[in-house]
Amino acid sequence: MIIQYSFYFMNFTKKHLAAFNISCRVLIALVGGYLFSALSAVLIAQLLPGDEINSIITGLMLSFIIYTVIVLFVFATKTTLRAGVGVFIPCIVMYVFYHYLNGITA
Amino acid sequence: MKSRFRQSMGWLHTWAGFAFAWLLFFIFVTGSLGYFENEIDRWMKPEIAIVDDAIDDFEILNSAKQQLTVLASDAEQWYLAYPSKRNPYIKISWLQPANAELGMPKQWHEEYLAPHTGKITPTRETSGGETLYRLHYNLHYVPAVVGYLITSLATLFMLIGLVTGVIIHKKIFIEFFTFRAGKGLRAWLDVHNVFSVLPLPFHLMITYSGLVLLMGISFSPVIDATYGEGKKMHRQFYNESKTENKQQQTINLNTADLSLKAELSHKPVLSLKTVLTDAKARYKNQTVSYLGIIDRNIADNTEQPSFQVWLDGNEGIEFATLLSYRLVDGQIQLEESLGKTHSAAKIYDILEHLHEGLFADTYLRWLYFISGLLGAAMIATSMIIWVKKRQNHPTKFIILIDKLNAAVVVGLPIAIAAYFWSNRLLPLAMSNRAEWELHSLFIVLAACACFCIVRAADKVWKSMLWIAATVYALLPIGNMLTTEHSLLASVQQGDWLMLGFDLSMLCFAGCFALAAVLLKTGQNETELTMKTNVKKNMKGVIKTC
Repeated sequence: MIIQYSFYFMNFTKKHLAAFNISCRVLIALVGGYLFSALSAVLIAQLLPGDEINSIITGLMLSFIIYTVIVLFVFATKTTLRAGVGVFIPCIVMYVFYHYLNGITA
Repeated sequence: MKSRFRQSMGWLHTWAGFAFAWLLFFIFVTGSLGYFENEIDRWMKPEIAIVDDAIDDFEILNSAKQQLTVLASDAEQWYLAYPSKRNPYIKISWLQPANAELGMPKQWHEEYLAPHTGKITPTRETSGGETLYRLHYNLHYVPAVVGYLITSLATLFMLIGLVTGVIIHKKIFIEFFTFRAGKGLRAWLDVHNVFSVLPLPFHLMITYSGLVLLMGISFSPVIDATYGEGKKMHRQFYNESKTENKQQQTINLNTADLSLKAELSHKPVLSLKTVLTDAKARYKNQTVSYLGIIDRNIADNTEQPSFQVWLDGNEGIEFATLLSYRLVDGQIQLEESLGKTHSAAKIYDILEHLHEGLFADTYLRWLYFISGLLGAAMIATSMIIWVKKRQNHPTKFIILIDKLNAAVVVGLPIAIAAYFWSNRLLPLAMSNRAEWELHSLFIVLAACACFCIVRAADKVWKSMLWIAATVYALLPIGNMLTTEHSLLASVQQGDWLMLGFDLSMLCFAGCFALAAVLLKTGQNETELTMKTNVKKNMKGVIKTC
């Protein structure tokens, strides 16, 4: 929201704002989506019980479905900010959790 | 709220598709051609002598062994492919070790044998069907990994396009049975729906499995984080996931004929001949499709060469029974594969087999091919719709996109025809001939783009379609003039692969010509016309609607 207000102050037109919003969403969808799906694949691989190879392959195969869902989410949410928060906060949580897990097992 | 959701999904559908439409069209067309890899190969190597009568397995083995001993004495692996319905010729191949003096890397060689005489049939240097279909994921001019990543990204966009496409069509089945001919944009949308919905399961399968096939590269950080970093660990991961359950038993060789028995009385000896005899005795109802030796030249005594027999591999190598024989402590050990150990690896296997369709017989293969072309047609119609929606206020940019659409949608088939033409027209002695076949494909594609940009916007589609029709129609004639394979000769010799290829080319030519005739110029154009090869199928669908 803050970003959007500062845009009005800086005398940008609505058109510029829309272009900026869309570029942001594309970035969040592609980069954030990749991070999100890769991290969840890692966690699936580590948390699924049983054989390691099986879990890794399962994680990898699910990652594309997760990626697709994330991209849909990013473009369906109301504001760009919400999309960014919705993608990157879970990424940070997963990243921390991944290190917490490895700290215990190592 | 709901309509807003659908609206944003519609936006995503449009632009995700727009971003990669040309590349995806390229991937679908070249990938579909992969289903006829062997048939294209046969056409591009017209010298190969086909086997039209049954030859004794041992006779083939003898002549193959003679040639391999001469040509590949220091090779680590030997293979012999028996004639089958899809590959009616005798092929030997071997893995030649690297030769530092000649600067040759370790590579596979293959030669074809003439039936009965057992002599090598020299074939022209060609890229063949394999290089053509590999274009759909390695893009040839970029390093392999870059090609995999770009195609993976494009495929992800395809998946997004498919999912959003399903979301935005609330009445997907009602719309499926709607065809409003002669209504411009609406007609194109209806055609787009037909091409998308009818083979939707195929599109989803091929897209998802395509992503999964390259997942080790596109999501390699995941393997880094979970299994181990670096090339070596990745290789170990692949090897471990490929582990198979095996049934091992120590056996005595079945000896059908007495001469062999005498040979074997002293100590067990493995040779291609003895394993072939044994395999034939064990599986009486199956035909042998491949024979091979692995680790031929291992010097130390711990590892012995392994002799392999594939049975019934005609319907795709993945369904073949593989017997491998090896000497262990003076005893013969027979190993039969029982499939992958890891259940997730089995699912991966199924997806891979579904994607490649190697198991498919002739009819299913055509269905695969046509489904792939329907995918290409879906993408082509989407490009046309994108332009039509913006045609009321045409800017220079939109006209340029329309022209380039023509350069891709019709230009790519023309470029592929150029690939086939170059196989017949380039001098046989030319160096790097195989490479130049591929260059001609891309040179012609670039030439098509230039032509389309220069040509007047309202004539560009029509002229391109006529060019495509001409180059395809002339292909069988070119084949007749440059080789002795005329349509008539193919019928007389029973060379169905050659005949099938030539007839398919004529059929494509007919489709392009029909599209060009039906294409009306001007504003009110193209209501009933289709700019792709699959026109006929679409007609069938429309009639039922």
